[in-house]
Amino acid sequence: MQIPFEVKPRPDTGLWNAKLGIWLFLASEVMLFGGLFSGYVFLRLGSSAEPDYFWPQGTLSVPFGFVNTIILILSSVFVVVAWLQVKLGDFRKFQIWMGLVVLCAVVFLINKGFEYNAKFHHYGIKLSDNSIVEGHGIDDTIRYEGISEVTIDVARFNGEFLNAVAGDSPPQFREVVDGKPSGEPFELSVAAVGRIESRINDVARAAHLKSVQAGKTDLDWLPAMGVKQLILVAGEPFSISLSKGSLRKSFPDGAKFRDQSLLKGSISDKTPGLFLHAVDRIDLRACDADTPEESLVWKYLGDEPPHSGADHGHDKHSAPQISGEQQARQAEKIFFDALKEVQEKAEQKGQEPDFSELFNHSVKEWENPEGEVLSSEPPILVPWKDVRLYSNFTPKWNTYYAIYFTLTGLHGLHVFIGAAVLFYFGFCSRKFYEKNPEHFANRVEVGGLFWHFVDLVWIFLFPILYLM
Amino acid sequence: MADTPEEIQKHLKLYWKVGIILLACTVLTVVVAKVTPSITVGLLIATFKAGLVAAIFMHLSAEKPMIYKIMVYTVFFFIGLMFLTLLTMYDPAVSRVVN
Repeated sequence: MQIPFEVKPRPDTGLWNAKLGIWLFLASEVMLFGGLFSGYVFLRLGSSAEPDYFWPQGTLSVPFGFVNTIILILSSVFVVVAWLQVKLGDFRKFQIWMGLVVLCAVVFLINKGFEYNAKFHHYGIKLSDNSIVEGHGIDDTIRYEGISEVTIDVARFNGEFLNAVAGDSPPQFREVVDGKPSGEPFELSVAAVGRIESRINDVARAAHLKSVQAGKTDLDWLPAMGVKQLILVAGEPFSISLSKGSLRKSFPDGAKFRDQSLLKGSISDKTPGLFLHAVDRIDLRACDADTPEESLVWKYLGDEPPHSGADHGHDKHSAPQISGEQQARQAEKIFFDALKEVQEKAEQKGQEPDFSELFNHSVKEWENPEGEVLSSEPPILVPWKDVRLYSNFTPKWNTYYAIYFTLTGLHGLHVFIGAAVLFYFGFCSRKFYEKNPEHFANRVEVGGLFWHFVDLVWIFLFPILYLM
Repeated sequence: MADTPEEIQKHLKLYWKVGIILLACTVLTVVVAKVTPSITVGLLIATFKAGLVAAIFMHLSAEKPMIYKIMVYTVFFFIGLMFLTLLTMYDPAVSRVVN
């Protein structure tokens, strides 16, 4: 069957099918991205009204964003030139230009990959006074010692805490019945819990059956009547050592795993807090302290964990020759010298000082009025009690990264799909072109329109995410 | 869109010119952001660039009325979306936090 108006336009609309189709699709895309842009505006305006959340600025690499903008603009020119080559009947040249478009898309996505990777390896810590430090090389190892009691959720237990047990020999456990250890010691496993569950439930089921027979109840046995929790005691107190991020919740006197297993023990002196190897930014805009000098950041900056032989081999920011404490004092000087400069400038102009930019301050590098570039990347050890939140730069860290990853991720997906379609036109459609060049040119135009839309979205993404 | 080789060549030149203007505007955006971190100026340049892409590369400057009709509806609802969130500035809960 011949589909009408694939090549020639419909007389009433003046459009061929695919052209009408792509514009309707692009209209829906405008609404999709429009909704997300609208969300961005909402979050950004809302951040200034939120007392403990300020919009992060200058956290993305402008050169990366700039290069990607140039790449997408060039690809937009290339795609329209490629389309004109089809119109001119030169398929070879069309392939060359289309190849360049696909190459631009690949470079764009590789750049994006580098940018995402940098974010995944950059960390932030929000302290209990709402001050923020950011940097590289986090160590969130937490060790609990003296664990003798474990409460497990029978239905959810997956044995994950057993992987964190320190030492070679696995602990032996006994059941707690009526508040006292009972039965033979056994090695804990999912199968062992299954056996205990069956045994307890069999007893309970038999007792229930007796009640039914005695006419005390007419309710059938239900799975919900089975055992839910088991309390176990260890033969010898044991220790666990793991990344705090893998816990569901941590307490000074215990740890709760994601499978709801609760272990009672105390945090070891060897892991007193969360360690960040190289702080490159301090943000005191939302700090609760009365003066910036009183922030908890200065109290803990420069501290290092007792096991200073920790392996930070993965971190490219190798420690300099001066001590952590010296680096901290250098960072403090950079911060407060910059503060003084802002105050002096404001006084000279007779204006109120604007601390907003300063309090979101990079201590990694700062140029003082004498033109001297000062830098410091001190370590920090924040005691667990003062860690309000920590994360790498993902949506968990703040709403800025939530909207950043949503917008750029969705845009990246469009780049990938658009490039795949254009690649297909360029390198898998020669027969189609030879059969009906005019129809093929229409298809390329439709693909090109989608590609221009992808470029158009990035034109707005670049300034709002990278520059503002 | 004209189809004669001469007119196609003419369009080819236009596309390259627009490409260069877009690149220049991108540089300008970065320079302006360095000099003055103004959201308005950055968005105005971005809107101009987007207008060029839509008008020239996407041929909206010489399209059929049906496409314009689709776009009018789209722009109308897009603007509605933007103002919808701006209305939250007057939300009583937010005002309470500010006060």
